[in-house]
Amino acid sequence: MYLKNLLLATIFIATSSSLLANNTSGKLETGKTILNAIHSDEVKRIMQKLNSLIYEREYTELELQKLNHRQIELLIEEATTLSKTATNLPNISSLKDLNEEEQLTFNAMANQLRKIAMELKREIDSNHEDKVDAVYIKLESTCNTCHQLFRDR
Amino acid sequence: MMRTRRTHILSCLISLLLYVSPPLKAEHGPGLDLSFGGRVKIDAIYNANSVGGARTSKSDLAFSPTGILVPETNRNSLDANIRESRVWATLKLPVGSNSLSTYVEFDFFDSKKDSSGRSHVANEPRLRHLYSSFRNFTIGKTYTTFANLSSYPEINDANGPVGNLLVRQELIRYNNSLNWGEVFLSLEKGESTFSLSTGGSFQVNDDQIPDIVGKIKISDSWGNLSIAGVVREINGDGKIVAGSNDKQWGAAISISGRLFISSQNNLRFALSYGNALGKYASSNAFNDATIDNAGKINLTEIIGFHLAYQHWWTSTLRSSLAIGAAYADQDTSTAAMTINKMFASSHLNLMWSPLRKMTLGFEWLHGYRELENGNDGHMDRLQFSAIYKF
Repeated sequence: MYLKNLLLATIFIATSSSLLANNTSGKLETGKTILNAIHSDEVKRIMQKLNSLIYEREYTELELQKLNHRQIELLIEEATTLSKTATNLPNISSLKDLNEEEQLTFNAMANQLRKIAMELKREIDSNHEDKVDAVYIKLESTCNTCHQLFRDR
Repeated sequence: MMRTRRTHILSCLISLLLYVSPPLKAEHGPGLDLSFGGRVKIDAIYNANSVGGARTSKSDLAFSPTGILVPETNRNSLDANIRESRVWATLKLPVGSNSLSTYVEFDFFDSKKDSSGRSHVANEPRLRHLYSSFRNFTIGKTYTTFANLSSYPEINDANGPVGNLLVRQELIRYNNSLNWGEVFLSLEKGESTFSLSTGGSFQVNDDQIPDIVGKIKISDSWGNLSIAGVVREINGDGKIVAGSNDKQWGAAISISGRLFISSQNNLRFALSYGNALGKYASSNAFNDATIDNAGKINLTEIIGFHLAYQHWWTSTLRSSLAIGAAYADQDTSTAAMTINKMFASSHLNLMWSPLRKMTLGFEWLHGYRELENGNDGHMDRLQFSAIYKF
């Protein structure tokens, strides 16, 4: 469960779009594309909390499971934001610099991201923990592919 | 039968030690979920002021404020133990759309020993938790509702700083999550403790009314904060004068929590005050009341706190500095002047987790104890701990 949470948090750190939604200029101060700014203070905080739970000394395992679940719920909220933002990614101004083929690819990746995020939300809401693992892997794969294609351009 | 059970437990432990992650799961039918886990913790402890006595003495292994010797002996000791290792099991049984969860946890701090006092026979299992939860209710033995576990610092010592409120006892608890936080209400086992005029103490075994505990806890991105209160009947039960049954109602409050300062750096604290705080504070360092030769009881007012700052040097390396103190205002006209007046402690450590489930820690602990007659004692301890969770 814990590794699963960490995996999810890591994925969301790489893909969540809270800042993305707030920063429509398309450029960071570093001049890199906005995709490099894909991180969220909220997601970072959630990940740190999940990360620190394993070091708790006095909570029972049942209580830790409850605390973990709470953090996952917060991540689901982030996933919802992610899926909404993924729909708007192609409209971000900086991405107009991409050529037509790249824009089509990016659109497809964004749609895929949105679908998987929604699938993740459905499975977690249904407490299908066994299926959630598989969705994590799909989400991670999608994120990694997109980052390889479009980061550090 | 007992041998068979022990053999079974041993075989389970060996299996668990084989780096099982995630925890073992056994399916016993549709929806029934049984999991096992735990941790191995080995401690090496150097005491600058050993309490001496049998090697099974807990005060040399886990900080007990009342175990600080007055006067000091300056008798050093070096010891090692695995008593704070733990094993746990959870059982989840679906009931309708909800789940009935049962939890049991043992450590190895039982103080049983044979006449020789050899330490190897003292590593007997001790029940820490056994409770079931269903919807908003918890029934069984676990940490008191009065405590906020989040306020407890990450330290090597098993008992924690002076001022902590960690008590495990039988309870029935109701809790409800609201938009702004959580509300807890519980009835918990009553157990009155008294200081005698002779300097000794005793516990009543015929308490009649459970402790009534309430707590409100607010959590947000900044951390959490809880306010708790307890109302108790302290009952002499006619132990001093047969037939007399002097009893008094007392109460205590506590404010505790964890505040994130920057990133993962955090402040953990608890402040408590009241005249029914005795058994709840600092491992029952003070008793609930004094009792005179006529059986009349006088509640003890206690104030205590602990404050801890945790600093993360890297994502795996962190330190905690924890201080704590507790003071009691007792009726010295009926109690011996050798009873405890004040305790204090400080912990400073460095923890490193090279693996997610492994933590190595080195800690310095200083303890202070002062009696009503003005005599005092100090204790210094160095403790190395290695923990592996499975």
